[in-house]
Amino acid sequence: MNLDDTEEQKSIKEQIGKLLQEQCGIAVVRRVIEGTAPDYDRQLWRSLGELGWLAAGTPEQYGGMALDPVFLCGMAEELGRALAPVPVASSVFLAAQIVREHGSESQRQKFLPLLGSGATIGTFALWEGPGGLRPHVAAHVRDSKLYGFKSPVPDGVVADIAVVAAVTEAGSEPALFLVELDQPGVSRRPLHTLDPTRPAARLEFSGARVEALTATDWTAIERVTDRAAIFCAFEQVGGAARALEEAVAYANARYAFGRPIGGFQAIKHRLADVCIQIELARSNAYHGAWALNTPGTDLPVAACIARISATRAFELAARELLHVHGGFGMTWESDCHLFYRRSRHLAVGLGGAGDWSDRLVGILDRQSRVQAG
Amino acid sequence: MNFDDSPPDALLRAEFASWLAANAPPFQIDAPMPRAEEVKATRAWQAHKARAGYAAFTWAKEFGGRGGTQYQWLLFNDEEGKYRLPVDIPHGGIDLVLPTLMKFGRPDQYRPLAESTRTAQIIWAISFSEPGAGSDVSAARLKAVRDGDHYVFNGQKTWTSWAKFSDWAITLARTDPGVSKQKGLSCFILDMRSPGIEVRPIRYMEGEAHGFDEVFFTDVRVPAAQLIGKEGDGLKIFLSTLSLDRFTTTSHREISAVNFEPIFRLSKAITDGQTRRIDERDVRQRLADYYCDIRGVQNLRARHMTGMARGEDLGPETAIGKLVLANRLQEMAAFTMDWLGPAGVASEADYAADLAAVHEAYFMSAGYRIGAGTDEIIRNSIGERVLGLPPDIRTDKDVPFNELRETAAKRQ
Repeated sequence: MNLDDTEEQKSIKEQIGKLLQEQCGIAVVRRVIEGTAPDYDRQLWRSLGELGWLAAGTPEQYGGMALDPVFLCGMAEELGRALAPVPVASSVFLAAQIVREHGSESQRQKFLPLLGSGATIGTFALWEGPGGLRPHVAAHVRDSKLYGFKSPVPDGVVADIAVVAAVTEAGSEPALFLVELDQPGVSRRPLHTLDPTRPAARLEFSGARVEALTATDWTAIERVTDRAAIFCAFEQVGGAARALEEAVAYANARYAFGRPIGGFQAIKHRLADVCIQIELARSNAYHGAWALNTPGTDLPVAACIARISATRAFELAARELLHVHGGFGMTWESDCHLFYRRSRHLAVGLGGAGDWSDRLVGILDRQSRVQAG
Repeated sequence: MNFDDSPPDALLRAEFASWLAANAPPFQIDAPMPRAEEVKATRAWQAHKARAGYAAFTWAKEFGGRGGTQYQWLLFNDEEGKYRLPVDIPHGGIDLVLPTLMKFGRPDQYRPLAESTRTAQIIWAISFSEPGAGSDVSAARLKAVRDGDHYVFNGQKTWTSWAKFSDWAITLARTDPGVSKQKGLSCFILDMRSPGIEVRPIRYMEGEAHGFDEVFFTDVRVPAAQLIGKEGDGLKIFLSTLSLDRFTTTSHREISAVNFEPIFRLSKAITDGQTRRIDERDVRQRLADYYCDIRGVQNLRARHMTGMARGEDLGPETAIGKLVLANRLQEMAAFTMDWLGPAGVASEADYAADLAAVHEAYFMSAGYRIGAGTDEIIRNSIGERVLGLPPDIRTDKDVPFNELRETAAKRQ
């Protein structure tokens, strides 16, 4: 039994944790949310690219370190802890993963080194307004030209390329296409977002040139979001763990009625519940990392349980962090809202928990019918 | 990151699995069975294990143990759990009492009992709780008064495991009411056939007894040689015994998926006219949450076993599984009855077996939230010992037991 980080993973997490401590203090996050640094932190993004982190999972022939997906999980956890305002999820955990799995050799050669260095930012565009895990897709491709819109597109304001889901004929399942965004036929409009450290945009396509990828149905698209959901679960666990640490520190330091408020069971038991939810979430996330690394496992179920547990844990941790701070937690000045925003952003970014629950039970139902013959 | 045993552990597991495959099947039982028969079946299986060296896994070899680690014992337990074997009854004696005696007692106290405990010829009762001393066991009132080379016991214990079928018991009694409640307790072992002991089984709310009893003491004479440690060591010894029980509580059935299955089957079988309940969004949400918690607890256990395999000392976080799933089971049992409407509380139909399982879960889950550490005690331990939050304020630490308000209130 070895359901824990290996020594190698621990050392990588330490390295990136140290980098984030130096370059991504809470002041860096606040710069973005205050609007004094636009959209994401350029300096941190450059550092992550120069030190090879953005290419950690990329095969060596495309300029990467070819590390196992579990290392990306560790990186995601550290980025989550730091509330890092950089487009790693869109560019690395989605766009680069998709190009690697579903790109042609020439597409890989062209885009993976650019995504790996950070020179190019990628994103993933599935939704067209409100929707579940298999949202209605009206965007369509005719003669390698894309028509329609996508919204919200994470990091869509700053992305250079996007992987877009679109149909090729009426009634067909959507397929994935690669679009370079700096071309006529693409227009973008920034959206006001709940968490400004994770910006989003509406993209309009009026005949933009696209390249086909090999993902041509929902099963392939869900495989993409399943993998991203496991990375995201680590980001959520990292954020939740940090929120709990901050809440405990405050509960130990703040006095009321003659004693630290953490000594009151009303507070102590809430924070114990946060700890419990994080332990469950971390456990299901580790299981997800194992599934990512182990061919032949039930990736959809692994992704569902990792995502649902992680969403619940970060949500609870962020709420209780704010609540334990009392009135101060409600202010712009406190950092509580950074967690409160990020937890909600991550909770719906790949589809809401309700839709993932729906999907999970659907899978269990189908599996039980298959077993029953 | 994986669920694989290390190569030496894999070898061990294979050894256990093949021994069990060859030996376990004839000893399997059809639960539920009358307790007296379960005791007989227990003794047969335990004696058989003892001959192969598997009976007292973590004991030193000189006492007939295997000298194995706690982790190796869990591996054996995992494999043993794949058969329906009578393993509940000897757990207290082998895993809790004798290790406690070996740590705090004298060889003349545990040597004569070790062999027969190992083979379950002696069955042990664990007798700590009292009607007024549950989570706060230091409030125990069972009186032990020194009289020559004996102590005379008067009072009552409750929730004593297996008392009706046990030969010996480990217990806590108050030897000095003039000091604080924590300092005036002492630990004893005693012969359950001593004159003056009366055992009454506790009938649970659903109507059955489940191996826990009330024990009444009237002028019971216990030899002073059966005091474990010194007078006043009782609470320290109790806490140490309790810590031995940590990992076992999560391995029991409340964490397993067996409780999910009847609820899941009902959600597929029950329709409201056309729609199966499982196809309704609120039902799916609740099922998904429950399923995620079950998998979370199983994966958490794998992480804890990873720590144990490395020799790490585990704390109160091992009780998370029990806390989470007991609460979830209680909610889900009630929620399942809700889908069924009035039929949810009446067992009549082709799904009666699954509904009966839900009814049983409704009753038993309430107890899971209390036994082996209440929800509140577990949350306190996690808050204080995992998170490092301040302890509760105690008003009973420096007051002699016989001057405490709780004691005075009882006297009236």
